[in-house]
Amino acid sequence: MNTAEGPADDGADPPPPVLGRWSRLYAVVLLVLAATILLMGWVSVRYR
Amino acid sequence: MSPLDWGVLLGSLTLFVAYGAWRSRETRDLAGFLVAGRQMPWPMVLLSVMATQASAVTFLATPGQGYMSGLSFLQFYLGLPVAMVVLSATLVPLYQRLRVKTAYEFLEKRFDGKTRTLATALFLTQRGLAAGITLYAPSLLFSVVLGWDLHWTCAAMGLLVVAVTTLGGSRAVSHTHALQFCIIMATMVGAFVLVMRGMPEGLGLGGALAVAGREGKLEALDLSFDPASRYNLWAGLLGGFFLQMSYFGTDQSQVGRLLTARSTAESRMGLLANGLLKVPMQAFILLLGVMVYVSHQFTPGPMFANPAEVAKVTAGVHAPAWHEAEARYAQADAAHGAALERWLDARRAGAAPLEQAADAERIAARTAREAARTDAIAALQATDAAANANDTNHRFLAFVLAAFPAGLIGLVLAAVFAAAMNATSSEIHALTSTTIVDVIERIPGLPRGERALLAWSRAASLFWVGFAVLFAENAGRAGSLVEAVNILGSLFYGTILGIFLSGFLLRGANGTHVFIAALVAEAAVLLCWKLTPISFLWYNLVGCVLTVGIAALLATLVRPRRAAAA
Repeated sequence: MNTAEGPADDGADPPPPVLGRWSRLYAVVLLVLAATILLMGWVSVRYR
Repeated sequence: MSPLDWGVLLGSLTLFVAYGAWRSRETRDLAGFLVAGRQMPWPMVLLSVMATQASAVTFLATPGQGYMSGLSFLQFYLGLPVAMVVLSATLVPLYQRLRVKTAYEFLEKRFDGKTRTLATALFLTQRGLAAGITLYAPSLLFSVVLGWDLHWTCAAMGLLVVAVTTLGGSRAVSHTHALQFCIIMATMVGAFVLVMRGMPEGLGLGGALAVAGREGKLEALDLSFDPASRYNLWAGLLGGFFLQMSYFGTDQSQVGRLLTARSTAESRMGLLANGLLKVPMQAFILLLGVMVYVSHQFTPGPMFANPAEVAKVTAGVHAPAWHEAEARYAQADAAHGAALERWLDARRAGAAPLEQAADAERIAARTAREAARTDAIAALQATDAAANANDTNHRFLAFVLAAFPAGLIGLVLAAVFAAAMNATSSEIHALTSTTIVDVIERIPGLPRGERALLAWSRAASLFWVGFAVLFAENAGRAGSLVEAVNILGSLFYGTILGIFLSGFLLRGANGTHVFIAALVAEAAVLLCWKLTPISFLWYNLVGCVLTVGIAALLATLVRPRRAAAA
């Protein structure tokens, strides 16, 4: 089986996706960061 | 300290040592010592990665940072989650595939021995000095609480770190991290509950946040782009990204934790979970410091929280000036507290004119209070020109010693001690691994057997602890320890990351190109630090971009003779 980490079985396989099955988890981490920045902005304005 | 505190402290310490020794009873070979046999599941990798960052510096200086500067320091961590994602997608699978024991082995595979040696030297210098700061924090606490001489306390701490690190290696570090980290966080939560219970009747979390906001402690986000400002969104996201990429991706104290994982997936999960949890955790610790500040607005806190420096000035010729400033401080502090209470009452009643009047009184009292403290610090420095005028690292400790009940102080001491053991043993372990793999194993003629290398690794641990102890004695002058340790790292991290990135991004660059580029970039970073007002987070970006940029330029202009002839 071709995985994001391993080499392709043979030359006919398409190249593995760069992010593979982890892309959703990466997106979750980045979305939480975006939400955190928004929350920090809200706190700064709300408690000025 | 009460007998109960002593009992809790000694009981907790015995538990840590016994647990570490039990968990590391299978460490017989070098692979077990260096990478824990690559058997760690991701929750253990996560705890170990987080605990390596959560030193006594975090425990003492981060609430102190919150106390003095509020939540603005949180922006320092904004680049971390992005760095975790990028590292998970790039470096983590590479390290696991290459089966390296240290990050620097990769550099010799990609470039040559001298590039590996340069990166190793930069890392050893930076991390050896940082270990001194990490060791200083718990020594400071124990010397204040127990009245011990600071120099001897540093030395005693160093010996204990040697015991923990050399006896068990990586497996002991990973397992004791998990236990100690849980105690540290439980103590922080307990401290938060105690602070909130000590607030005035009816204030509540909402009222406390309103007071903190009014005092300028909740300015969590600064959108201005000012390279001289230490903490703003851009410095945190950009400079912080490069700093965290280098720290987690090339600093052996963290790479060593990742290499203990069973697989690439376990390493990734550990890093990504760290990306999710780190910012909220730091927000909580900073907020704890902010809440201690708020509680001190209603119940008087110390004017200057470093008792050793206070003892010196009150015994010297400038004692009258100190006492006069202290009296003015107390008066202004009481006026400030009273004005704040009036402001809160007016706010609850919705009486805007009264609210404004009380706020004006609060600002006037606060200005008078700050002026009194400035005069007191001048008296302190007149007594001893080398006095440490920064008490940020003592603020949380002063609160703990004044407010915590018997028994809990012992637990706090044990937690700080645990944090110190976590971080320092990780650092010493990383320094040792790098010294063995990147220095000793490459020297021709030295015995190479498993037993010889294990003996070398224990000798290297001793050497690095000695180095850290020597530097620890001067670390107190560096100001806020949590800032000091990151400023120190930022002087080297950008260049180290640039060397690694050149390996991935520049196919045409060879070892000599990258070696020259790294030397030029490091010189530029040091000049930035010495000669410009640019804030430290940007050094990471400058070092990295210059290394990669100059290496790319050299690779284009100076081609190897054979390639040029072809």
